[in-house]
Amino acid sequence: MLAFSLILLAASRVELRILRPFLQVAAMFSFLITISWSFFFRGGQVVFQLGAFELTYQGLLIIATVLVRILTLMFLSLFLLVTNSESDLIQGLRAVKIPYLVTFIMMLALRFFPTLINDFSTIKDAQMARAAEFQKGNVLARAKKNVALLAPLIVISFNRALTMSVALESRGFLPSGIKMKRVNYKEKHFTTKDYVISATILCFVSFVIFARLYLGWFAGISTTVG
Amino acid sequence: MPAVEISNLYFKYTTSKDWILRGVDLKVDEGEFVAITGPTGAGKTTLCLTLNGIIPNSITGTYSGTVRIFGKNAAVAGVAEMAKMVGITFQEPEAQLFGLTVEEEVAFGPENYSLPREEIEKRVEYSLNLLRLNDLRMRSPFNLSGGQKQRVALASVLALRPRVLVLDEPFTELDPIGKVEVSDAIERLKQDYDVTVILVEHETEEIARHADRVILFDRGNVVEDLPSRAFFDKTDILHKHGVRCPQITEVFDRFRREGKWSKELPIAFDDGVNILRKVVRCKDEVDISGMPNVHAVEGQAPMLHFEDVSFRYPDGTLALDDVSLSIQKGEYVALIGQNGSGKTTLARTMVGLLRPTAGKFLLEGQDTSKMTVAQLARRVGYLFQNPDHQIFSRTVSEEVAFGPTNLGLPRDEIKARVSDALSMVGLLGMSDSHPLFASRGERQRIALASVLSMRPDVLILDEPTTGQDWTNNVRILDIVDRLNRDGVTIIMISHNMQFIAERSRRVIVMKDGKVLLDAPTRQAFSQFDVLRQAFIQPPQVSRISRALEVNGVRGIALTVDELVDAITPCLQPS
Repeated sequence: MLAFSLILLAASRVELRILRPFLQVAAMFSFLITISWSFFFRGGQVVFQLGAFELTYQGLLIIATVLVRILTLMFLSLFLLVTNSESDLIQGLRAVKIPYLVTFIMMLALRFFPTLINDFSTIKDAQMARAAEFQKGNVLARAKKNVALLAPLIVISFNRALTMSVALESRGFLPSGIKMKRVNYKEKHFTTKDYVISATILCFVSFVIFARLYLGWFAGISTTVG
Repeated sequence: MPAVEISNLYFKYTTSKDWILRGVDLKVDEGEFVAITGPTGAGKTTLCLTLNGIIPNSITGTYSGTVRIFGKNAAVAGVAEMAKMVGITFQEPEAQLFGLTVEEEVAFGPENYSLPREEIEKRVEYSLNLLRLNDLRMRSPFNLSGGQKQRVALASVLALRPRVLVLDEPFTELDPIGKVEVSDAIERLKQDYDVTVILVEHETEEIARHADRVILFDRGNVVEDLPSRAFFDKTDILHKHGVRCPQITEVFDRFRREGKWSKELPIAFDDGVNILRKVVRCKDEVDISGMPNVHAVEGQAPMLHFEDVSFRYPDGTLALDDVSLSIQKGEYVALIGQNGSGKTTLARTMVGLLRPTAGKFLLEGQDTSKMTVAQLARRVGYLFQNPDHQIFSRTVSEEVAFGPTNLGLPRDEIKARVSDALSMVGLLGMSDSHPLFASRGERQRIALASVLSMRPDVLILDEPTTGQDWTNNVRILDIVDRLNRDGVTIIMISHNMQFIAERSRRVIVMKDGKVLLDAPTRQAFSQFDVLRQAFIQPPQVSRISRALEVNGVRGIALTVDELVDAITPCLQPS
């Protein structure tokens, strides 16, 4: 599966420049997992040792299994996000009959996340320009400084949310009207291709579940981990 | 039947102590273009929200009186019904756009009313065409320029085919290009789409261009309600309520005060200029002499010095392209240009919030690349555009003390600086109150005080005049003038050419990350052709002076008084 997700990513021909930050996060994650999990699985043949830290052969095997799972998930979701526009994703969700309210909230979240990040960094800049130093002091002092950033962020977001709700209502989007059936300007419909792929995925997943429960496949990995 | 009929309307929010609207009576006929102007906090936006029933249905409070739109009672009919008849756009382009593409944005309203899909498509096409947005239809509204965003907001409101259109400060957040773009769009709308328009606006030049009738609104009520020309003729009343007329009107107003003009004051630029061309006859050429510019003390290191500075954002955008310039101690420099031209990037480099990706930035001869933002902040103060990004404390004095405390100053010193800074902005009486409950103009001054308490040598102001009325702007600018006289170097980012012409001594025009023009203010505003490349129009008085060149006027005036003083001797009795 990991190999499959990597192939998908490679086939998507997304520029490496866009992927790089995500890959960095993936690498950092893998490293952290390797370190932290290694403390829980001791005993057996030691492969590498540094003070209290030791890596055993069995430990490595388990860590590798976990990493494969997490990275597969990460790469697959990354593939989904980089190959589809937000608009397509939302419309796709609507096509599989996810309620409008849910997709609308998702859309707002996607849309306003960058604004929130922007506000946050402006607030931080404004305090730095008044000689606040966020790198200085112990953990507690730093945490306190970061809380001071949240107050204006909440005020600004709250005001914006108020304006937004007024703007939404002014265009006929009403709390009472959400349940009402609405017409969507652009609608995606399932094509044959969609049906074939969905069916294949469904078959594959049910086969894996069936194999795990009744044929006892893949049991080794889960018992050691779980 | 009138389009809008408001009678004896009173309203106050659940949270407010006083009435926001106090017995408003107002009638607007079908097809009229009415502008509403007045100081900030007068209740203009509140009035707008009663028109589609958001007040009192969604935003509640104490409400009495009636609002009728084509005979329908807005409070009773409900927002769903009224939103079809009354379309509203808001000041902040960001907060009113929700769609992931422009066409989805425009379709959003009709979708909410479950119109048949063919009808939605028809309306989307119509609105996109009317506002010339066809090329942008698949773009994300989020990534557009301010002017484009405001046009999308207009298109998406028009898709509901409203009979009344309410535009709440559509120009406030825009740069000069955006203003022209939206102003032209409104003019087209007037011709091509049959609708009643209510425009809420501070910029009187825009009002003079579009409106048939103007209403002065203050303290929750109508003060004046007259056809545009008659309205701007009441300069005394307008000035008293903090409303400035277009400069062309102000020029004739001064003539009238001096007994040289007795007819109604012109409000359109072209009308005024045509009259002046007829009555101004200079026997000898009149030269509008220059305001003295502050020059550097020879041999001293410049306060701010950029040496081949470039800045590239991580996403590859080149925001500053090989900029070299020097600013001396005590100068008053205006930094102008469209959004995205690099002025904010340049200003942020001055406090170290951004570091040049190539080249050097020196502060009084010292290389700043090794200095932290906190070290630079001792010398360079930065006032952010929106005070709400800056204010976070529970009391005003705590807010103002934040900077000096970070500098590690002794308590007595901090206390002295806080009261100094607060008295400088005239808010000493507010030291113990909560900044959140101050008005927008007061919050702006609290934010300024919190920068001044650091006693900076350089003060950067990022659009300090945006979104405020004339009185508040003059108050802030007067404080800045005083600081400048005390030797503080001023860097002012602004889109308001009138204020820049009146106050600053030097203008730097940025375009595409480069310095397009850097000259003393009068020289800068004389170079119409160069300014045009950056889509910047000098203030009306400068354009009037240029138009009178054939009448023997040499040079460019920067203020109404300069122009009037220069041409008064040449006036022929008409």
